[in-house]
Amino acid sequence: MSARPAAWSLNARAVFDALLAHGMLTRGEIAESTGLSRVTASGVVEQLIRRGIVEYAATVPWSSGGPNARTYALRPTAAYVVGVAAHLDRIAVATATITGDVLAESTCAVEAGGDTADRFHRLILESLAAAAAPVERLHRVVVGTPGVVDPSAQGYVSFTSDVRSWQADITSLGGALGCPVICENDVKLAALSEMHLGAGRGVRDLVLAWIDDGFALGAIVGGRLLRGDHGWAGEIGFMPAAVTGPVVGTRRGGTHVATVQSALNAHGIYALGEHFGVAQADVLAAMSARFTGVAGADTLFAEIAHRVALAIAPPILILDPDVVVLTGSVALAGGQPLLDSVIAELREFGPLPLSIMLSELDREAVAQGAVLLALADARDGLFDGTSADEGLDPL
Amino acid sequence: MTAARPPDRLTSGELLHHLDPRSAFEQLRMHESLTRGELADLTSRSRTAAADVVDQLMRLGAVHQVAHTGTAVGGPAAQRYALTPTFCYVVGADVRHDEVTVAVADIGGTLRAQITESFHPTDDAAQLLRRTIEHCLHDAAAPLEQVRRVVMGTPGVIDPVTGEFAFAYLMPSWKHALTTDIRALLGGVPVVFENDVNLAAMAEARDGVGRGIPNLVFAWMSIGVGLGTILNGRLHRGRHGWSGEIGFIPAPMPPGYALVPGLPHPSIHQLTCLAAIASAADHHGFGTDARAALGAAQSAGERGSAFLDDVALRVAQLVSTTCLVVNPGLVVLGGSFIHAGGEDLLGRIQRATGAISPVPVRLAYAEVGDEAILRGALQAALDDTRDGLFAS
Repeated sequence: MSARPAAWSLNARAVFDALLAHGMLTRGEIAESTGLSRVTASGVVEQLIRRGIVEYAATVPWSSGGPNARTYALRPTAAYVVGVAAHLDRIAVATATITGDVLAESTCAVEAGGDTADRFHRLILESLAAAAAPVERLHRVVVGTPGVVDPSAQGYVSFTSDVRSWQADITSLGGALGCPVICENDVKLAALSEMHLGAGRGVRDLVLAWIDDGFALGAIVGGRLLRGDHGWAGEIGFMPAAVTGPVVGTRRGGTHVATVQSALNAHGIYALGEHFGVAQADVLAAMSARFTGVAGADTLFAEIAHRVALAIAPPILILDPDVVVLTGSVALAGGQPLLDSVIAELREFGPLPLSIMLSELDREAVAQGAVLLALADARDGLFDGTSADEGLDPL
Repeated sequence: MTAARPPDRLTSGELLHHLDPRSAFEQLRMHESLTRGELADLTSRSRTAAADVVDQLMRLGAVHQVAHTGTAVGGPAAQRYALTPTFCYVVGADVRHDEVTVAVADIGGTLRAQITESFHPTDDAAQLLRRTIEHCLHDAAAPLEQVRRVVMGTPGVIDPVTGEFAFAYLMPSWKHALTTDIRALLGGVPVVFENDVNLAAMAEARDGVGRGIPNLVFAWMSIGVGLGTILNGRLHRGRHGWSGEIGFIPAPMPPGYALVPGLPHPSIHQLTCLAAIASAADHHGFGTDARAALGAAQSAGERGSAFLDDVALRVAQLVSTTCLVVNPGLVVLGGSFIHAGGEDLLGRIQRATGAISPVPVRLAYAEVGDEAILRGALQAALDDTRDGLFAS
């Protein structure tokens, strides 16, 4: 028999969610929206005001609460979260209020010689300062990183090709900032962004295919990130690929094997371009439908469409999601014509149901996803097993 | 089928004073009999809540009073209540291309009767199914009016929204017979079709090697190849019912592999279906019976080792693709032949999978056996019926 959840936590979270969804509400409206009695709802509102999470918003002359009823709202500055995207070439940082408003966003290049935990610490403090957010009210930091992040040991990057030194020091970063700092796989965070802010709005199951300097998948099932038991969900790049054109092989047991990753990462695509007489600098232009002056562009385009189809057939046939979203510089340069060619290729494999779209987000989808995950965790943490008078510093 | 509000949306008062009939039903099912007080204690709810639910179940005919058998210290013993298992029934069926097995269970979950009939492609499928169901109900002494649900497991893709076949590659001519004719013949009884591998996966997750594992994939290899995927303890069907149709996934075939009938392109189907393994067995000199060949190869020295490694490489493609998309806690291998390879083959598949990627993989053979589809069908029928009993 599981323990009954503390009534206070349940009720406080219900009031928090009602105010988050509706903005401003009277006590009567809060009671109605949460199913709590008016007395209980009023008590919870009082406690949340004392803890600085809710504030008095306005007096409205008309409402179901009678004349001159007061309305209440969440206090956005009660708590903050930070999302960080640790790309291989740049670091993006965003600070948001607990209500989800992003107040500061910045991007800077990766430093030669590698980045340290100290640099991340400095960038986070700068972002907080730009948002006028005191570090004491920072509740959660999520860092998006390439690699496999083990969900049973949050923050532990168990497998990665990115060897920057900050990853070892992620726990010390948490100590310095005084709040939990966790890592999450970058493409999974981008999938979360796409689901909440982009092409996946309103769906429950989504697969994001990231085709850029590398290839990876991020999946969401039932509205939640699909991490897998060890964080390996979506790492389809390791699979042998049935490609016909030239590839940069992955050395395996003494022989070169074409994998999904080697067929679609930057090296693989540049090698393919070279094979069809397209210079490295022209590859993205050749992918773009508007550019027709590049010789060999058609064949390059067709082969890349074939490879993308090979790479996304497994998640389609294993998960059958509501939508598959293509993103990354290669996919976005290819645009709608690439999408059409990929769909035609997939039709060759069988009568599969296909709902494939292009991303509607910009380059900082990972940082936005990090903010979304940090918000979800921070909101869960606000009322975690606490009584009315503990858990959050009085303000 | 009303989905109960998730517990985190229930407020404190509701939690204590509301006992949903479905939970009460489960408690009564797991105990020979209960008093209202015991029911309240078991569910951590108030006595009033327990008494209300018992009254409701009595009105439905799902529960009866048990005769007093003694007195407690200080007065008469409290009234005891027990489930009435025969107040309704469900039917499960395993419909294959050449035979059908039908079983009837009471709402308490006890198997009452089971019949297998074989048939030919020229038979009237719907009539044959109805006759078999009628025989089975007769054997079970269960009237058709008391049947609440029929669940049929069958190969093919069933759209989870419409309940209709989206794709049936083994017996396309059955589509209409199954979905329209059988429903007409059985009158008002709800008839639900479910992909056979999904049902087998549910049986394995509940009663087999997957017990207690929230994320697991059942890889079924037989005439066709498919996955049954359980995520967070729930069957994942996908948007269009296509989840797990892994046979279509393109896969590189080493030179010299012969294509077998079925899907035309080099694919997981071409690597791991029954015909593919039989063809490999033949190539290595073990005849064309895949199961017998896998058994014989284990004690056939180098020649046997070469065949087992060939099969392991093929299956490793299926397992790796699955694990690199889902990364489940367990991959269950089942179907019509794979068991015959024993621990020897399992170890080879494990090593071949490790050579493809570092993704952690745990493998096990299915435990439930031949009746996994039938048991999954009965269980699905029972679950849905029990949920539906209290919907209004």
